[in-house]
Amino acid sequence: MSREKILDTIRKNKPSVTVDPPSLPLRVKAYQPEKTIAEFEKNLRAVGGIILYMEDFKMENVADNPKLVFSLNEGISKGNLDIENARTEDLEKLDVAILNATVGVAENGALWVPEENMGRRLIPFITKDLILTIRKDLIVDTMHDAYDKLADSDTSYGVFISGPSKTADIEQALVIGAQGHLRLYVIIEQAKTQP
Amino acid sequence: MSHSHPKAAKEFLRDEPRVDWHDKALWHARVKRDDATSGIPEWEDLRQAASNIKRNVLANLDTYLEQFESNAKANGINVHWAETGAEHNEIVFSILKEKNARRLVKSKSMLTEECGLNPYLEKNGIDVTDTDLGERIVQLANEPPSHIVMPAIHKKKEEIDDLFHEKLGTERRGGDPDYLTQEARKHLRTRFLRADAALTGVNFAVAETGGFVVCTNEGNADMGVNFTTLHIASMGIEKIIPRQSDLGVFLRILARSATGQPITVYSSHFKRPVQGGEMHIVIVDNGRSAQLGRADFRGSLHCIRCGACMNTCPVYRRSGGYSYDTSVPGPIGSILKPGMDLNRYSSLPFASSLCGSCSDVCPVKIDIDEQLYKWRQIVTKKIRPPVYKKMIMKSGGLSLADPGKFDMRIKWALKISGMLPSFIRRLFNTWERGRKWPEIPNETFKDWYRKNR
Repeated sequence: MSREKILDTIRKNKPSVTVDPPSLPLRVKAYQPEKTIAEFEKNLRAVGGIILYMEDFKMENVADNPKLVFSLNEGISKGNLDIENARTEDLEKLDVAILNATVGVAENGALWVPEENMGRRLIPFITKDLILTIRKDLIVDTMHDAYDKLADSDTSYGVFISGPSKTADIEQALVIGAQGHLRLYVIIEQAKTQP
Repeated sequence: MSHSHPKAAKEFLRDEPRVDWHDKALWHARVKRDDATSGIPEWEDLRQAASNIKRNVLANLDTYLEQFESNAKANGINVHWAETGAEHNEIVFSILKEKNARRLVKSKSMLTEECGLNPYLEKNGIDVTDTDLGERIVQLANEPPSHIVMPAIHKKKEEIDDLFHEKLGTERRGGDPDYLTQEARKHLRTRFLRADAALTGVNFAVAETGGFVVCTNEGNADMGVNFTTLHIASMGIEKIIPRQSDLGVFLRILARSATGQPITVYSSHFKRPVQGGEMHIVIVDNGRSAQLGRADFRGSLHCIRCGACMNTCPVYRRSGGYSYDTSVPGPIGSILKPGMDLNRYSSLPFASSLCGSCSDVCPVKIDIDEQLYKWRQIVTKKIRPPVYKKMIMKSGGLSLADPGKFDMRIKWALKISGMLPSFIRRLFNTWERGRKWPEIPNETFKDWYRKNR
């Protein structure tokens, strides 16, 4: 059996001295909400994301007369995609998807979207325009902090999304809008008020 | 057959403007890397943390793999083990066959390049589409990737224009990258829609959760996987990390080192198959456990395949990925490959100026230049060096051991070399083939000093 053979060779060949893995997270600075959010906005723009504000949100600013919209955020849109009966071919026509991210990362503009917030696993990738919402108080400084937040998550599938899909495979020319979502809009929502 | 890096590089060097262009393109990636890393004050701490995690992994690789396997199984993932590349290919084919899957969409996986998966599957009647744009370009051109992060970095946009016109029927627009990317998007959508199965690589596999992470920019990996219900992921045994929190370290360093991005567009975390779907992981050894036994070289297994060592390497930039004849070229390939076939790859450790830039940029702190130097010593001992090199070294040794002989030989060398025409000298002196012979003084420094002190 290859499994035993591989493991036996590893046991025979592995170094006898070990080092402890470092204690994580590496902390660099104290959390300052306003700075963190400013940093998030800056880095999100740098990776090609577009920031919108809930107060003056209008769908026509995102997509010109979108025919097919999927939304998991009723406050923004009810959407008109029948997710229960949609076939893959139907999803191909999706113009806008509105999903809720549960962690935002300031250092790279990444947003965590777990499967439970996707509708279908294909939705965040196949939609032309992706709108993600993120609550201010869910934005953290670094990836270390993000994994701290995700420590107890048991989602089957989740994605950090940083900006719209892109490629530089042709002579390193950056092209925004490769195979996944063509544009990313992020709506930063106010933190939940304490009860 | 042994491979010769100098011979292969010579081919590449024939077209000098192209070499300059290639050199600049790669350096551009290096500059972007510098910009991205200089903004992180704790960058060196991150490198050290990553290196320590990897050292810990190698010392506990067996237990982490077992832990990963049992957690992955508990998550409903099928786990397979392959000792060789051939076994990996057979496993992938058997999974496809059992599900009657004929059309496979693949995202980027250097491991499957290493195993030669595509030709094997195609021989067995599977329709394979590489879906990363760079990989699709080289697949359509019937070429292997020349770089692990930018597979088509050796191709000019005009060539891609011609290629797409011929193979996909696109208009000729002088190689407009926007247009070509949009056309590729349309073309690949048709492939996703009809796919029966998807294969991805694995960037990191987490022992404590039994899940794994795939990092991409285009969205092709998630697109393929989620268009189908059969997902096969291929990973080398060294891709294991112990804890989910370790991802915080690796996702911070990977893209910054590779392309200068703060993180890839998509960092996808797979833990369980989609409802009604199937997920398989093939864990591949293919020489890695043997490399683990070489104390001087096991550090090469830290590699997270960012490509930074290639982008910075003065030899890679001016000799091209193909000159290495490996799926992973450049400095890291030159320390990985001799362990798999010393005879065939004996020239690779010499494809370096030993400047050490590779080690400086390596985000997991592999001492690449030192390993190159150590491989040179092994190659020289185990592989018969060319007769002329042996003679030169021997006679050089004799001269250096005896001051009288040294003085005499230097005097004769000055006289004779000045008399010989350069085309004769070049037969023996490879150094002079690409360089101008310096003006030869009439006397040695020692003679001059005696007269003038």
